[in-house]
Amino acid sequence: MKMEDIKKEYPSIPDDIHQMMEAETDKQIKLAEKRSSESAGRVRKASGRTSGSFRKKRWTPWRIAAAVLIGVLATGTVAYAGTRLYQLRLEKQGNYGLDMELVAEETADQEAASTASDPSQASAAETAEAAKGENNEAAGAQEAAETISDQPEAQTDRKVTLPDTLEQTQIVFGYIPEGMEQSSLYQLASSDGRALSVISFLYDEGDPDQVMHLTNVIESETFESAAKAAVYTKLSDGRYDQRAYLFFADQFRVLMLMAKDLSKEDVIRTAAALSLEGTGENIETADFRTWSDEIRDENRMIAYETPSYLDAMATRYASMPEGKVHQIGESFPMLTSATINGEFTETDALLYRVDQAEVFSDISVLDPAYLSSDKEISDFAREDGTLLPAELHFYSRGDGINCTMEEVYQTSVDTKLLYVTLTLENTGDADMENVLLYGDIRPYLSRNGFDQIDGTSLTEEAATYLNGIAYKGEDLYQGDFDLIRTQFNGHWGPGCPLQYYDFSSIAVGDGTNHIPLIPAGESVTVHLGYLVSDDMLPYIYLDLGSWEYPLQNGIDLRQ
Amino acid sequence: MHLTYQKLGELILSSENTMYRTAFAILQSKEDAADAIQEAIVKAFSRINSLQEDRFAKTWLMRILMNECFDQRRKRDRTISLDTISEPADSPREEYSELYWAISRLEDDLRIPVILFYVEDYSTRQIAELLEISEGAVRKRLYRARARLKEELTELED
Repeated sequence: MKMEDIKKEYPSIPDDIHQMMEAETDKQIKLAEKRSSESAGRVRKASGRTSGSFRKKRWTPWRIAAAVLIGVLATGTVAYAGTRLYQLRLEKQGNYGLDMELVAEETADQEAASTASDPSQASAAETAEAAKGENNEAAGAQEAAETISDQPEAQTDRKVTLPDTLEQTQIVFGYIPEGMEQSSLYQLASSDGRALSVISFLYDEGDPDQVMHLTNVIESETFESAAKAAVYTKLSDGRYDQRAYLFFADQFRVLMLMAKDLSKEDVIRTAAALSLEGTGENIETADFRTWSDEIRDENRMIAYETPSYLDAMATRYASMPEGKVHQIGESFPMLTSATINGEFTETDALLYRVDQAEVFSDISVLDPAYLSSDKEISDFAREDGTLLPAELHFYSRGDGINCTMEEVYQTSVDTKLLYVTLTLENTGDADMENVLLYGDIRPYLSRNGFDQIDGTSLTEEAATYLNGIAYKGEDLYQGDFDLIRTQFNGHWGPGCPLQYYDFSSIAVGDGTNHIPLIPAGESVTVHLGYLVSDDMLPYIYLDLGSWEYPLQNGIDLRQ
Repeated sequence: MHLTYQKLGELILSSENTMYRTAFAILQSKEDAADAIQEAIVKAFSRINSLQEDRFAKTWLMRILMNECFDQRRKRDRTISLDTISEPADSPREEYSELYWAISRLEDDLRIPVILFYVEDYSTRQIAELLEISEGAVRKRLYRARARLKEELTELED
């Protein structure tokens, strides 16, 4: 029986689950379309949100904008009569980080007024009266805002509890850039590929960690809009690299606008002209994603890009068995997985030896039968067998706070074929079956004691065989966070493996790295092929470890 | 252009077999697979705007499903033993080959790539993207799985 036979008998989806999927999909489409009038809010589970306790945060404001609101809710569940003050706090972090928070504050008078009154009795007249006072209150509130901004430790009651229901709203695009049209309730598009989407969140302030940590921000500014506060940001990368955040706090909404290939002017004009109109219907707030949800998810993502995480990675490599460097012709043992006496185990009885590393300008030495089916010769070689040139790009990888990922150097390079002859010797007294062969080429660049392997940072202790090299005299290191990655014709690395495994010495081979049998006391020789940038040949090592445990053993192939 | 809700719905329904078999491969329970699929559908619709390239929609969808399956497993914190592997509804054990049951007994990191590769025809590259491991690691696991199955089936045949 073959493995492929399993396909015939593996169960198809049971009818009841098929029906469930149909029903759930249909439900979600209907719900999404309903939410579309809310400008594509996201569903969250009705798990019941409770506001967290307030925790004060010290601020050193880089720029502060204040907004004043006479707050009147559109539903009858809760009503405020009085002034509600908002501050949009923006604090720069490093070069590209931006912390953003909208803080709602009440003065002591309004606090007393709101607790004294019976919210359910708030009348339309009181509401109208409060609204009339908005202009008169604005000046005073502005002064109050400035006062508060000077006193970041002033008391605040930051809790805004979402009511159970809110009036449903829909987006109105007051301005549409030339050549674009509204393609859905919350999207603009054009035939030339420009695109703009708006996402809505319910604005809540229950979580004391209500700070959005934006990263890779290369530009930001506040702007006037129909919302109580608005900020524009431009990111360093990504297709939708322009964002605008609009805080319609009085309607308990935050809108996030994402734009692709629009001018900054058009992004800001479109955002500034966005407004929300009530539809007269109500929504259940439990069904919708809140601003707290978005902050929590976004902040969790950037944890992977912090220096502390990458330091931990460096420590991880340092704590592993010290990387060893071997020379051509030198035999060395390396822990290898294999089936021995019917058991799948790991053994150090397999010796590895690179016999030769030859460089060719054409592919005449390759036997196409051993080339991986994923590769096409025409992708890397001409009809006459000579190798095509490649584009080599160098990127400095940032943490999004102190530096961003950016291309620092680009060059067109001649390509060479690195043809490696590797011998594996079974020195044990039992046959080894099902051995898998790994190997990748890596460049080693070093500066200031930090050794870098294709974007991975190491400590000096873990990388004892690296040299300080500047590539062609170019200073490739920028910013405080230097991680260089090279990209060879779109493939990360100084070259790319051809997935070429020539096991003709043992009459097996299907272009894979699987060695079915190495008898006890015998050897297997394999030829491996790599395409390499000509420029990188002086820096190349062959790493025989797996991706999970790189640098277990490196062979110096520098040419 | 973003994937529309309608298109997402069509993608989900056209992928239903893949979704079910993958969820079942991870959770080893029809009921649990159903729960995970339902949650994954909800999350996919709520996160539709996180899909950067429509051409990766299926991989994106499958990753949501797999994360949901793993989350479920972690919450329930249980070990699947042979005794608890549920049989497909209305299908007694003898209707399935020893190969099927041997695959069912593989541990996760071997069983899941096997199902994706041999049943769902995913390439090693696609599996690597889904599981967020290297292609080399995928191949290693497939070979280990084959080696294990070959041992077990040899014993059974005897």
